[in-house]
Amino acid sequence: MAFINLKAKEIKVKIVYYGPAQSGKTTNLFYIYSKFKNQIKSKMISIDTFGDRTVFFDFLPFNIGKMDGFDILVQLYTVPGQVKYKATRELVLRGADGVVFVADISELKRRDNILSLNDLHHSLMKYNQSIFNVPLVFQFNKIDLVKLNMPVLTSKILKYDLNHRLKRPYYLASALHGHNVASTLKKITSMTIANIKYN
Amino acid sequence: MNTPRVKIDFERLANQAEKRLDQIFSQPAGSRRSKLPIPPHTNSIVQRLDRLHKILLSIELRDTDELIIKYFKQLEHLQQAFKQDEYLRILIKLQYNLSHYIKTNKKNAHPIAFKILRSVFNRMCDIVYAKNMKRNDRIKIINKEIIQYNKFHQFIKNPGSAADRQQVPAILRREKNNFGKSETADQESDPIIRERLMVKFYIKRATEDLKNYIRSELEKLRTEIQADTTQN
Repeated sequence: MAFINLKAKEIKVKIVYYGPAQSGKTTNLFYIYSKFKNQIKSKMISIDTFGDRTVFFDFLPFNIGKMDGFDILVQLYTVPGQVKYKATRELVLRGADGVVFVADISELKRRDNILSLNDLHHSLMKYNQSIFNVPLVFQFNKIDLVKLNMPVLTSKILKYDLNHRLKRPYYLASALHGHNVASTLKKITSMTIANIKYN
Repeated sequence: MNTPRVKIDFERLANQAEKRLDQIFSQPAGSRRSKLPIPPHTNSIVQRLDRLHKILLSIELRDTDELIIKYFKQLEHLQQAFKQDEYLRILIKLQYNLSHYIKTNKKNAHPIAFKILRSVFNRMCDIVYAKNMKRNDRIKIINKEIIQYNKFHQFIKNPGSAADRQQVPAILRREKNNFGKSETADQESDPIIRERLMVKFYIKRATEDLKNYIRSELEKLRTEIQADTTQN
């Protein structure tokens, strides 16, 4: 839930990048951090990461500046995608104001994407939130695989599998090359801020 | 003291935030292509290993020339990166030879080649990620991989000889035991493994004894029952 400090005139929003293992959640944050670190003047914190796998979470806070007299602080988190870290995922998801679901478009990951979205649904329910109400943006990541002639899922299949009922904004992205990474973040941030009043 | 009542127009705030983010994330022209971000965990070696791993997995699914060439390229980059490290260079060389074999033999390549290739890659990752690994441990790891590779090499050079035919199952046995944790003949000199083999041997013998005992008891019972039925 967004934290609004009227005295300090500060609004904090928490956005969580969710998705199956190795779908590119950390890569999203890392792209934002490495590409825009001069603009966002912040540090990315990775906690307990082994090799290229997130074991606990990554955290990237940044201030987007004063608007209407309020400082808007955005906190980006990633969850560990591996199935065994369910408890950590739930912990990170607690108090999330917005969620970016990073799906892997590789054909082999079709089932993982669906299972992860289902997992998100159940985890949100534990915090009395509904996947149908929470600000959610889909990012269909790894479109660069198309160039490598790797078997990938079409956006039609992805929309059917994941966004059939939810009908949320979605982006075809390549977190590794930064394609649509910023667009995803912009969309989820504005959706999340607009949604605060409902909370 | 009461906090002042403030009305916040969140929708306007959201629009403003979107515009601000546009400003923050507007990129200077041409920068997108020229400067690719370094993927997570900063150093490019990890990135290269990650790529190599992805290609390796793809090769196992479908070994096309294109994938193998990509694998070669990544190996070349790693060879440059590790030019100071003789141990890693050996592992890279082994991977190069194995992938070359896979490339030339395509579908006829022996399935063990893929397994050995994966094993060599995994050991290379172990060495890279374990920054403080002792020299002796490194040598042990590399020796195991070289022995395995040599056995395989002999086998593909002369698949007909009886000795080689015996060696291949040994490699397979190692595979089943998840590489490096196996108990092949060359490792029998290791006291821990020797002890483990002894325990296995005694368990096997005890099981056989137990089976024989049960069999003899059953036999006795059968004769007793037969005797009873004939008396009646």
